[in-house]
Amino acid sequence: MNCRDVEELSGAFALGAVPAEESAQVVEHLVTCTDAHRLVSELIEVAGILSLSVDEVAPPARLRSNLMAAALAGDSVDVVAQRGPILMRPHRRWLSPALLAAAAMFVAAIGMGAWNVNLNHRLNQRSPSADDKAVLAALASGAHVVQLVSSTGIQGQLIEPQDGSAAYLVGTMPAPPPGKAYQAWLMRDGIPVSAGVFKPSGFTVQPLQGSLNGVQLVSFTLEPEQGSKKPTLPVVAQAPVS
Amino acid sequence: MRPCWSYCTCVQPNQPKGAGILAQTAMIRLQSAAVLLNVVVLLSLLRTDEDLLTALAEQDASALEELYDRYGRLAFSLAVRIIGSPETAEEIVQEAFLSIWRGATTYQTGRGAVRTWLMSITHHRAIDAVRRRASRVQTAPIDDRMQFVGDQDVWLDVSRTLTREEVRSALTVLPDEQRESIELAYLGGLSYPEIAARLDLPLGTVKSRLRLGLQKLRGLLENPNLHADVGS
Repeated sequence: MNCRDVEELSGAFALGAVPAEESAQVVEHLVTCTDAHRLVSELIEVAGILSLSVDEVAPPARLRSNLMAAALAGDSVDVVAQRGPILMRPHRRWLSPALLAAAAMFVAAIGMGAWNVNLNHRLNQRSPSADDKAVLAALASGAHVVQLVSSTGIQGQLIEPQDGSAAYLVGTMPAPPPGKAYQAWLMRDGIPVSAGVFKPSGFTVQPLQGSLNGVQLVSFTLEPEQGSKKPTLPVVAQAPVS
Repeated sequence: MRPCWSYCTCVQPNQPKGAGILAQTAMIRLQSAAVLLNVVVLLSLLRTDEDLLTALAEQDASALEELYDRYGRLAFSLAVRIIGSPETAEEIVQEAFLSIWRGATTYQTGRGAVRTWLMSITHHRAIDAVRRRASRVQTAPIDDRMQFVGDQDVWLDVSRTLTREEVRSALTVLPDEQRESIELAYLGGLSYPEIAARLDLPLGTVKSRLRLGLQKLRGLLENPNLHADVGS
């Protein structure tokens, strides 16, 4: 393909209207030809402003919050795309009192849910703390249980009492590195609000500060011991809650 | 005597220099300095698109929010116009912004406007979706084009300040056949052979219309006074 051919195709190329195979030949020429490069550069910039010509359509408010949740969660595009049109759908599991008993028996029976076993172990070893009692009471009255998702070895659940009182993180978390602590974040419409800083080691029952009302995602990050004003990526664990 | 500000009246001839006037003058200076400081602080809070990209490269989530607030509506409008489905447009826009979020470190300052980059990604993804849906021929990956985005300062300055009305106005001045071909390519996602087939035109004619149309459009946007000449 020579300079004249590329010049002819420059408009179509700038608009992305050249079939892939032919486009590769254009690129091959452009990397060696200053004049053709300049022409194509100019037209690509013009093509870029054509977006301004379309009628304005207001995006739904959830797009912003979904975007921020996906960005903070470190989602890849492929993962996001697989979720369908409305992203970060709720993964909340509602446990009725009847199902709760069955679920508790199931968990205990097959040994899944290290948090539950550990909690019972703790209760057997010493007097339960106020937080332990609060979690048990919340579970007994049909709290919402949301599974944490983590790629860093954190296992646990978010316990959301039905009466709207403070939610709890119950799970096993590795000790944070020296000088660091875990910080919980409540994400509402893409805006993170700190829900507390804590330094667990192993099994933990941690109350979260603030109501989960309107929260789409609870995320956990590693921060300096005094906490941060904004989350520092990556997110080490998260739980979509609404 | 220490030099005084030019607009200060305290050293005007024959003016009383009582303690009250000196205090008043000092207060005025103090207030002026405070106003100046506020302006400086406010200006420092306004981040340019390039500032946002720098912050994005450091994974500053607030920069992504700010970028979305600036261009989310524009990107969504473009995606809806191309794909037709608001639900699919949501996916496309989210993917485009996530792409910027992850790829901000690859952005080179001076290589085209950030808005152009973002809109090009949105456009490309929307067109790809249209083509996949219709099982049509795929065109080149976006990187093929974006690596050649220029750094002409004059055009960057022009493009940053363009409004919807200005772009629409310039498009209406283009000859109908050029505008039609550009719209079929940009908004319809047709390749130039597909445009030629649809309009029953030789390939060379379509290629010329696309190139000449964009060149004229650039001229019109750089110099709006050309509107009257081009249309005739």
